[in-house]
Amino acid sequence: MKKGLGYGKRKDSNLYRCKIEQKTDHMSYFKKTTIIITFLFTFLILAVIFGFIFKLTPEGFISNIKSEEMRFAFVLSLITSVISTIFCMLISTPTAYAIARYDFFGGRLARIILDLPISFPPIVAGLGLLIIFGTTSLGIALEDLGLKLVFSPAGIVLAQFFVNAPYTTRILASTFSDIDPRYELVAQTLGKTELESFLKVTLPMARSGIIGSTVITWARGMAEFGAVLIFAGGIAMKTETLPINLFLNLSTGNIEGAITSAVVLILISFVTLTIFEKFGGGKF
Amino acid sequence: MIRIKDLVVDLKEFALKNIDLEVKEGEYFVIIGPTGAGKSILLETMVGFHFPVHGSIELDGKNITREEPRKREIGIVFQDYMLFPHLSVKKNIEFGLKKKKSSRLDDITKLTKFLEIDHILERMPDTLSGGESQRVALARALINNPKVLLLDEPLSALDLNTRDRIIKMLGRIKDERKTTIIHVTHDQFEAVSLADRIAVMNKGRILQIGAPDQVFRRPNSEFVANFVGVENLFNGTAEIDPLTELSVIKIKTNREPEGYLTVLSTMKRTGNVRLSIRPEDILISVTRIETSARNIYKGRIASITDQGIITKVVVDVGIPFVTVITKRSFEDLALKEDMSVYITFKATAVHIF
Repeated sequence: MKKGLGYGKRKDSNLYRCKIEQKTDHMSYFKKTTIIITFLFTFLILAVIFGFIFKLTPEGFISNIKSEEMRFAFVLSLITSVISTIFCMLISTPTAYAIARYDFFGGRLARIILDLPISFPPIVAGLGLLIIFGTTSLGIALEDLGLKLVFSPAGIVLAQFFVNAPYTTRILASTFSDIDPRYELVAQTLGKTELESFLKVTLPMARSGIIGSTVITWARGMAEFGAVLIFAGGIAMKTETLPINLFLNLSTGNIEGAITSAVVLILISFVTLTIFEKFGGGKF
Repeated sequence: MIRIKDLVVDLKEFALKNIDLEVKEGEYFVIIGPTGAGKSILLETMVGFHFPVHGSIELDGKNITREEPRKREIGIVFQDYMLFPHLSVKKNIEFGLKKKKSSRLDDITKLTKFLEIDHILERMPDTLSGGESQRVALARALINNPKVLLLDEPLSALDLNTRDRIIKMLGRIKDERKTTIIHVTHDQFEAVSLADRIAVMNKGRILQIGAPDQVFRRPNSEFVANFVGVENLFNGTAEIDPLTELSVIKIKTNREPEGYLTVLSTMKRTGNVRLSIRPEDILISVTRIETSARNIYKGRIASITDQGIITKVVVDVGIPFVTVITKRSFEDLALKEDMSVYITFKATAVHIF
């Protein structure tokens, strides 16, 4: 057992907080320029958000929200993202712990490979899943066992898991690396097994990171589009999640329907971001 | 009790080399060495945090080299306490208890009273001072009555007053609870104050093991001499003068007619004591000087050693006192061997253990 090698090292969150105190009223051109760019950037984002609101009538919003297709998409997104989040946490927690705590053969390579999907475009991940679970013997064998993944809700869960779990692992590994392994050692000298010391010491100490990563994983699951579209097919009323509902509405010219999905997704992001910030998510 | 044989630990960036060590039951054993000597790694190996590539650790005749930490019955207290931040003081202390029987709850009460932390049981660790955290960590480690208690630099992070209190407390843990203690430090005074025996460690090796007197007076290598080099270490008997409230310490000498030398100290102790005076705190003069310093003795120069910028002068006043002066003063005073001189030091410069 050894200390972690700082996998997924915490980026210095204070970077944003270390502000230069200007003692005089004078503003340098440099300072002015950076502040103007900040305002323009913020304005662009606000413009996009307000764009939705101006484009959408309350009646349109309500009627679209009440539509059967929208409700189906919302419920399907909710169910698949909750299930994929559970899988992400179950797999990422031990993975993150192992790469944060132990030096083992292949560990370095595993770290690099686990990070890869984070930089993949999700659409590539979707295609990759389609290739290995499609008409391959693995895919056929699974289908014979009753687990049809391609173009099915189960496929949505897998696509969300595949895209999100590496990210969840990264957040959790960073959380575990920040906890001194000597806490567990002390617990073990006090008669606890490794599992007990993990459950009674490390896990409660990682509480913020775990809540934060659960929330962000769930939100990313709700919003996952590329991988889900390619792997699960984007079939109306079958594999239609919220982002796919937006896409299908847009392609059939139902702009109001598309905007309604967009507003719902923005609201989810907003709530998630608030919760994530509260649990020190700014670290990651 | 605990016997370490030819232990080799290799952590790539650091290694312990052929450690041989035996600590007896009820002994207070201090491992002393500079930062990076490998002291903490040795302790962490004893509790099972690192596995040796060679050698063995035995506790009460049982080989525990590859035993899980939870089965070793060895407690550890770290310099930075490692209190579980999400648990209250009470929960921290109870952490190691298997069943919370009423007899065990009595133990907690007794132990927390003993360590003077019974009033902070409901507090959270981040609200505690260094000394309080240290005592909570001690209580947590002691609650299961471990066979051996390991202390990793337990006093380094504490202020002087708190240190003194904890030193006394550690002495009482040893005396009253009969716990075998292995204490790691880089501080000679801690070692002299507490140790039955001392091991000096550097660069992953143990250089010398022995009673404090033996190690401090007869270092077996230049490193040990320079590192633990407590010069002017004497044994004496102390009593307190009720008038001046100073300790009066009598040190046996062959000096006639008294047969002892009287030294005054501001540190109050009675009975058999060990005392030391740093060489740089001793003034040397050719004539008797009028000063506020309370300890003035006449003697003759026994030896002079040139050490570059400073010169070491040993003055025999019945017992040999080591003093150091700058080369410049040495030349100004025109000191020679066998010359008659005075040595002077303040009562505050006399450190009693």
